[in-house]
Amino acid sequence: MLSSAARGPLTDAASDASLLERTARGDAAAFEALFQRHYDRVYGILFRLVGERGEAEDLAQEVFLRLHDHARRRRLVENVGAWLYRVATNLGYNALRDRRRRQQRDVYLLPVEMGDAEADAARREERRAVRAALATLSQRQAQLLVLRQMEFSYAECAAVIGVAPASVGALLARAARAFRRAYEKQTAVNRGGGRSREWK
Amino acid sequence: MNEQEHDIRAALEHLAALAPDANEAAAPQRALAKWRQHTTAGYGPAGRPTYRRNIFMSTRRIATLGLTVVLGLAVLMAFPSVRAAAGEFLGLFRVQQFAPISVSPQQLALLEQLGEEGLTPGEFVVTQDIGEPQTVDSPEAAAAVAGFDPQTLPRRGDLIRTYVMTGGAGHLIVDLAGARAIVEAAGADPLLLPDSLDGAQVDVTVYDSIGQLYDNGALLIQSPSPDVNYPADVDPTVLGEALLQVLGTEPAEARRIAQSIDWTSTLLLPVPQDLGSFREVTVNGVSGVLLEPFDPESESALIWQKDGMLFMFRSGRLSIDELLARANALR
Repeated sequence: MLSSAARGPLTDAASDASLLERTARGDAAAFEALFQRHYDRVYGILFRLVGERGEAEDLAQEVFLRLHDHARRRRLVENVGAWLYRVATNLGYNALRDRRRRQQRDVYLLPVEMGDAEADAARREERRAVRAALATLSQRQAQLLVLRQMEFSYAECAAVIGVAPASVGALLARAARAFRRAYEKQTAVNRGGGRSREWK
Repeated sequence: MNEQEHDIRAALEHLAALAPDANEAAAPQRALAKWRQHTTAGYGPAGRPTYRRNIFMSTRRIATLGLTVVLGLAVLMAFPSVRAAAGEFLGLFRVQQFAPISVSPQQLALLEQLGEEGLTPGEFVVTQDIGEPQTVDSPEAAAAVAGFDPQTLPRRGDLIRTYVMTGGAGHLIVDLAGARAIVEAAGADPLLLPDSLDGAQVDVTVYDSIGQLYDNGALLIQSPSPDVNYPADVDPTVLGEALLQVLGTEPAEARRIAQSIDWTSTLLLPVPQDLGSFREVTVNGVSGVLLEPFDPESESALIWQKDGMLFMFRSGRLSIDELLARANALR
C-alpha cells in the first residue's frame, strides 16, 4: 500500500534527507520510497491547481524529476517535503496562469455543457470560478490557500512558502480577502452570462 | 467568529471544490510505474541515473529560457560558459553598450535555485530556434549566408575555421505573478513591477552571426544587433531597477544606477564576483568591456558594439594585450 506515510511527511525530514542522500549515491529504491511518501500530496496540490488528471500526473512526474536532478547533482535540500510541495505549487500555478492567459478571451463564452446532472454542472462551474479567482492572486497567496485547504499545518505552510510560521496567519487572512474579492468579481462576470455563485 | 476568520473559512470551503473526486484521486502505483518507464534502466554504471526526458524537456527548457530572458542573465554567468552561450549572448537585446555588474555567487545560486523550483516570469515561446554553427569555407561564404560582411584580421590572421549560426526568434508573455514571485524571492521589491506588465508580450528577433576561430584558440563572433520589442507602456527603467535588485544591488543604488542607464540599448552583464573581474577598454575607438577570469585556465573575453554590430572576442591562448591588439586590427 502506497503513501501510508503521506500524512505529515514534513516531519520525516531527517528520514527524507537520508533517502535523498542514498538517491545521490545511485539507490533507486531510496528514491522510490520518497516518491511513494510524497506523491499523494504532490498530486493533490497539482490537481487542485490544474483540474485535469493527466496534466496533474505529468506535472507530478516533473516535480519528482527535478528532485532527482537535485539529488544527482548533490544539491542541498534541507526539507525534502517542503521542497517538493513548493515546486509542485510553483509548477501548478504556472500552468494555471498559462491557461488563464490562453483562455482569457473566450472563457466566459464557453457554454455550460448540456445533459449533465445539475449538481455536476454546478460543481464544475464552482471549480472553474475558484481556479479563475486563484489565478488572479499572487503566487504566494494561491499557494497558501491550496496548502491550507489540504490541511497543511501553519508550520508546514511556512516551510513550503519560506516564511516564519508566526506570519502564516496574517498572510492567510490577506490571501482569503484577496480570494474573496477575486471570486466575487469572477462571479459578477458570470452572472452577466446567466450563471451565479455566492460567497459562503 | 470575526470577519477575518469567516473569510478564511469561506475561502477554504470554496477551495474544497477543487479536491479530486474518487475517480480523479491520485494513482501512486501507476505514477510509480510511469516514473520507472521514464528512467532508462534506472542507474548508469557510475551510479548516476540516466533518463529519457523527452516528454518533460520542453517544459524545463521553456522555463529556463523565460527566466534567462527576463533576468538578462544571457551570458557570462560563468566564464567557462562563454563559448556555449555566445549565440544567446548575441541574441537577446538591442545592444549598443554594456553595463557590467558584479554579482555575488550566492545571489546567482539563489536565482538558479528559483528557476529549478519552477518560478518563471512568463511563457517563453521560441518561434524559430537559433541554428547550430555551420562551417563554411571562408568569411566571404559566411557573408553570403548571413547577409553582412564580417570584420576580419589583416590577411585573415591565422584563421582556421569560419562558421555561421542562423538567427532565431521568440516572445515572452509576461506573467506578472510569476515575475513578482521571482523578484520577491530574490529579496527585492515585487511591486517594482507594474500591473501593466501582466500579459505584456516581448518579441525578440536574433539575426545570423558569424564566428571565426583562430589557430591560437581565439574566437571572434559578430552579429547585427537583435531587435527587442516591448509594449510602449512598459517603462524599461523600472524593469531595470527591479533587475538590478534581483541581482543583489541595494535598492537605493539600484534606483540610482537604473536612472543613469539607457535601458533601451544597454545589456546588463552580470559578472560573478568569484569568477572574474571586468574593466572598460577602448576597442576600435569605442568603449568595450574586458572580462578577465581569476582562473588562469579560463579565457578572457572582450565585448563591444560598433556601427550596429556586436562583437565578442574570446582570447584563446592570447594575452590581454594581444587580444586587444587583434581587436583593434579588425577591419
